[in-house]
Amino acid sequence: MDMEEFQEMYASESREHLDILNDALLTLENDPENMEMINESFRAAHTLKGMAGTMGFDRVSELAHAMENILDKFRNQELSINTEVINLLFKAVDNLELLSSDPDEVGDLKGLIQELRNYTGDGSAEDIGGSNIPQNNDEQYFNLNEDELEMVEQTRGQAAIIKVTLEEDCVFKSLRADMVFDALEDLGELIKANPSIDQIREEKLGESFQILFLTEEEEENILESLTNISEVKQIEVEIVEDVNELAVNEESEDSNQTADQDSTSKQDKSSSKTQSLSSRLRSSSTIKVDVARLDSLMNLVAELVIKRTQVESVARSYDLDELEKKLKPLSKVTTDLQDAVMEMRMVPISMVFNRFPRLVRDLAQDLNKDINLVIEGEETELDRTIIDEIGDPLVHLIRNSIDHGIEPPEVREEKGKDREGLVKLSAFHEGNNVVIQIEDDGGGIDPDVIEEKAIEKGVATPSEIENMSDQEIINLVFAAGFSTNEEVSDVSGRGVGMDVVKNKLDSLNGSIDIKSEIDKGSVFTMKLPLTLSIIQGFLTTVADQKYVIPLESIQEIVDVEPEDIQTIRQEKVIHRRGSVIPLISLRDKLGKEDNLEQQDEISTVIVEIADDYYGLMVDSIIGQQEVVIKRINDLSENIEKIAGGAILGDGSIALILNVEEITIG
Amino acid sequence: MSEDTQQMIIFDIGNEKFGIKITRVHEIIRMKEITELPDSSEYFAGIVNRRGDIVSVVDLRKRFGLQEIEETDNTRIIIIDFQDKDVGLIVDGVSEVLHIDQNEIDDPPQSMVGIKDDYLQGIVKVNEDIVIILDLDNLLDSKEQIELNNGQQNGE
Repeated sequence: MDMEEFQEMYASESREHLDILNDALLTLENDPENMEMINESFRAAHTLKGMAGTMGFDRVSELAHAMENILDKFRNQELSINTEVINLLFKAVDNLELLSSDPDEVGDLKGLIQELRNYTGDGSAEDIGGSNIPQNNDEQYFNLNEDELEMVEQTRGQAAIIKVTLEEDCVFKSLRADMVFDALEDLGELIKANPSIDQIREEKLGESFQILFLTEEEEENILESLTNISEVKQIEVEIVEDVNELAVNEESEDSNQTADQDSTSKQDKSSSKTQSLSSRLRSSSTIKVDVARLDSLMNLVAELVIKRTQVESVARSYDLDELEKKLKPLSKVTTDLQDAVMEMRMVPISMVFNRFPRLVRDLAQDLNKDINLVIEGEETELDRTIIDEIGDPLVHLIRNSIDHGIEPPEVREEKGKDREGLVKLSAFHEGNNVVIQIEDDGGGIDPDVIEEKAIEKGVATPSEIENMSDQEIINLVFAAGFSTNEEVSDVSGRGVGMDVVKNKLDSLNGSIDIKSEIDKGSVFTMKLPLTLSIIQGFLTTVADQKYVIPLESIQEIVDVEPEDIQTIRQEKVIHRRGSVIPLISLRDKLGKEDNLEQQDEISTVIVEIADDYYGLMVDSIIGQQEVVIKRINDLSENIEKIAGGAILGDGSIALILNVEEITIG
Repeated sequence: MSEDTQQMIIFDIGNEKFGIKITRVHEIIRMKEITELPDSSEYFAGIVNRRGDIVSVVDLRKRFGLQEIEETDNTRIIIIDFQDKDVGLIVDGVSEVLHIDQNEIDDPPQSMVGIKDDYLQGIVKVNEDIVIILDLDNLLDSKEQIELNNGQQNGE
């Protein structure tokens, strides 16, 4: 492995830790008491420092070290958390990000490091290795949970806290501590130690540690048995009158105990947050594969599927039963293989969503707005290629919502709204699609303003607009060369317009639409295909051309007899299970000649689109098949009804229907 | 060979000879079964399967407002590069590859029957024939003009 590969690995690994730092800092800003987050961020900074040290990136390790020191002060409550210091830490994170991706872009960091150091009060670098050791302070924290309290109550004897101080130059601290424990075990019951016994065994202790101890022995006896141990400098025994004082304090998280102890004893939201952070790190620290390699695997599997279908069709046309039988398991294996590859490419959308809390915070600060960002459905999975593509459009939409949508707090107050604006980012599955919504409770889009701008920018003429509905006017924001912001702000209006967003979604076979109400807010709804490549579908023929109807939307397939067809308001419908289903002739929709009269029974595919049922009438149905979607280079920009093409076993092309466009559009 | 010399693929449509730069041509394939798409503009013939890839195909006859003819053994699809994607052009036949000196290319005459100026880079005389050098990007890009052109031709 050459240096460049190391660099790449380092960049992607540090990315995860930087994400955690970002997240933790955001949480801390709103919840400064959150010990979990302090520990989380401390660990991330510490790991970054270590990684950078290994790579010889001195600037990174110096910066991370300065951050670590501040976080350590938080941890020991020697420094309180305020916006100022959080801003500084964010600045450091940003620089770390830049250092990992593009080190040459980073200027002199001395100023920043000095600023960080000013907080910790150390002008010079201190011993780097030492800062991982949890520092004992004199206060006695045991934070007993309920089980431990119960144990104390059920055990006979007096509770005592024994503080052991070892010699400064003691080499085997954990060994000496162990000897202390051994000696104490003969005299009573060990309840808990601070640092924890596990930490002590791992040599993670300073010069002193404390033990909560239950005993019936006299204080002198204890002292005597312990002073015989060498390298122990001092033993202090304090009798505890009320054990409950040592219990977990719900009000303030003032412990420097280990994180796991807190999370078991407290079921608050902070612990679940921590879990999600750490689990993310765990899940993504498995193995890293270049997306290009996955893509080539994907293509190979797709080829395999096509070839399999070809062999299958040979077997069918020559009636080779034996071959067909042998092909069945092969077909299952390829399908499973396909699923496995697809799954490998699926990643949670949190990969994109994670960066938004930070973005929103910074924007809100810049624009002097109060924003409450709510994120839902971040576990929704999407194909990696799509995830990579939607980041920029999403950033743009969120910027728009905050910049143009949410009003300044004073204006909101006048309107009788909460000063804090709501921006909701949600993702969920809907059929074969993933839907991403960006919702705000801001001022909404005023069609009159859009109208004015559209005319001014030459996007539409006044006469064109006259015939437009409000919704159509709002949709003009997607037209090329449109931007509603009066002043080009630093935030949006960087030349990336809504038209770019729309084009991006089009290129992904997706769509976007806007619902907006003045003073209520706007909802941008993006629809994206779950994956770009393979779908299950029903192969049908219409006027000698094969069409694939995606299985996801199909409810059932029925043969409709002509006498079952009724006409309601000049539309053909059938009654089925108590509901009226409109019939759509695909020949008609696809611009082919009608041949309805000549058939006794009409094969009809019932599809469900947005909770409504439609019957698609086809000439005949060939059967279920999985096909590899190939994009059609859309020269005419006029083929919305077709979602793509698929190459069948015999080399002919089947067209994949965009059922939504055919039924609704 | 001077720097100004380019290799051109010469193809026929009707009685005219056309040339396009060989650097834009990926390959020339025999006519294939074309899958038509609904609602597409008239000159856009449809899509073909080229070794597992779907390639959009433009019918240059329709594009130039000429009458449709039955495909022959000579009919070819020239696969070219257009905006980083493959696009096929259906032509009546491909005749030869020529070296053409840039200096020999003349401006197109003011009006040429059936073809608007935008799609013409120039004309060049080769032996007895006049070869029309096409500007592929303009030819494929501007949709309105193409429809308009078709409309005019159909009206005649």
